[in-house]
Amino acid sequence: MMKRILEELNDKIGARGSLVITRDGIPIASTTRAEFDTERVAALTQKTLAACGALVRRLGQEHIDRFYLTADSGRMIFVELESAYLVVITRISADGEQVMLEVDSAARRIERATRITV
Amino acid sequence: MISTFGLVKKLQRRREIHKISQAVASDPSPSKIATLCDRVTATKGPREALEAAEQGLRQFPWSERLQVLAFRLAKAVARDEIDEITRAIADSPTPEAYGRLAERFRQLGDEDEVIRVCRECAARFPQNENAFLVEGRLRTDRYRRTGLARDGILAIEKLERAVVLNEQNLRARQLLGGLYADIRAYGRALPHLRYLKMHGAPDERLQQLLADAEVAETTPESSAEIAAMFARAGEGTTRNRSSNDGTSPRTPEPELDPVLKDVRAMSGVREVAVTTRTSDGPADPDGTSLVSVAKSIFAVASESLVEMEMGHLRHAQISGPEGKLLLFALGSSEVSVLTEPRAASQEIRDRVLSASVRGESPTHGSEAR
Repeated sequence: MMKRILEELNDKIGARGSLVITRDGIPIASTTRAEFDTERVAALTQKTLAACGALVRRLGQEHIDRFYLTADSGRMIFVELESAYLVVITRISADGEQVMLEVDSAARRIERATRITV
Repeated sequence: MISTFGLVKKLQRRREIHKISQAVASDPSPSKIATLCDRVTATKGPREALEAAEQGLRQFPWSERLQVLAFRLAKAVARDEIDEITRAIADSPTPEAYGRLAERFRQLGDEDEVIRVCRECAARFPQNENAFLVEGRLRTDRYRRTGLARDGILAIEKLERAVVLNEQNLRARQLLGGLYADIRAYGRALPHLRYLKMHGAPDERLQQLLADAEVAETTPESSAEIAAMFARAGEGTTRNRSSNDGTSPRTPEPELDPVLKDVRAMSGVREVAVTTRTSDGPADPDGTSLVSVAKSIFAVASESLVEMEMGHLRHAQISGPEGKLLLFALGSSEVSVLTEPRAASQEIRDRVLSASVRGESPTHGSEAR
């Protein structure tokens, strides 16, 4: 179910990959292109989120619910779910607003699906 | 008949390029420049198209379309050259060919391949300094980008080796002098800076570094001291020491750029800070200032993006119930904006980027509301 949501998300926004990982960086579901090593992306995501979470706490921000990174050749979007993270990798040319709408929608659907499963 | 047809086609394409070029010249836009690049790629090849895209980027530095296009064209050009050089190395390897190959990979942002090529070259030609210089330069850039001590230490190791192999290598000495001065290892920086003064034509910055190093009058630091200095600099707590008493910042923090003053005045903005990539802004032993936090986030995120081969960090946004943190890499400056949760981040982003579009480098500074 989760994988299907990710596949649909990738199709809609032309994402290069999307995955759901646990808070400690273990991939639960993923649909990424061959160029991405899912385990590696998950581990780096967890490391980045943990480090940046600790850093923003110094500014009085206790919690991160969204994190976007724009790099030379793509964007990464991290959205906090109830007990996991949704990670989406897009092309740099993708329409930012449409991407965020679809990512939010996918995040809600994943949360609903997870609740039912649990 | 076929050649006549081909000639007609060629003339048509040329005429089309001429027409688009005129349209670009009279009323330039990223979209027109991108169309021109597509036509030039089809007729003349990616190298010429890359030149057009780079010219376009000088006019529209924040156009994502042109950035993507230039990146793609640069890749196409570099890949052609990589194939050519790889064949040449297979036939007859030379340090120069390895140097060119490493440089092409560097242009592609493939740092792992650059290091692999340098190591292969060093193993085959251990008495040639070129490979050490290229890897030293790459590590220097990476250290300045991410602040990772390991890269700084390896940069020093490779560049020192290049100087041992060829003491007249001015580029290696220039990098070493600058890197040692970055961490205030003036004892080590001094001989390189003096050599450059005697044998080269040091620029204004190197002359300033030499003046700082001569005032400091320290003995050359040991390897352990250098490692410790890199580690401290990476923690973001020491780079603002003065050259002698360790208390005042090395460069004064001037006023904010007028555009960024406007950003600070926007609704929901709590604080704006600007710093250069190689400095830390005001001294902050606890690492709780906006500048310190932003710099650490830049380092962490950049490292992950480079590891994922996505290139360098240009913009980041962190949102939570307590507010948002927006970070921007603008040329050699880093801009950080801390806002309320409901602040209009898109509007803030546009306003910050307009400082770059106007071709003005934001100056340093930090101001809270």
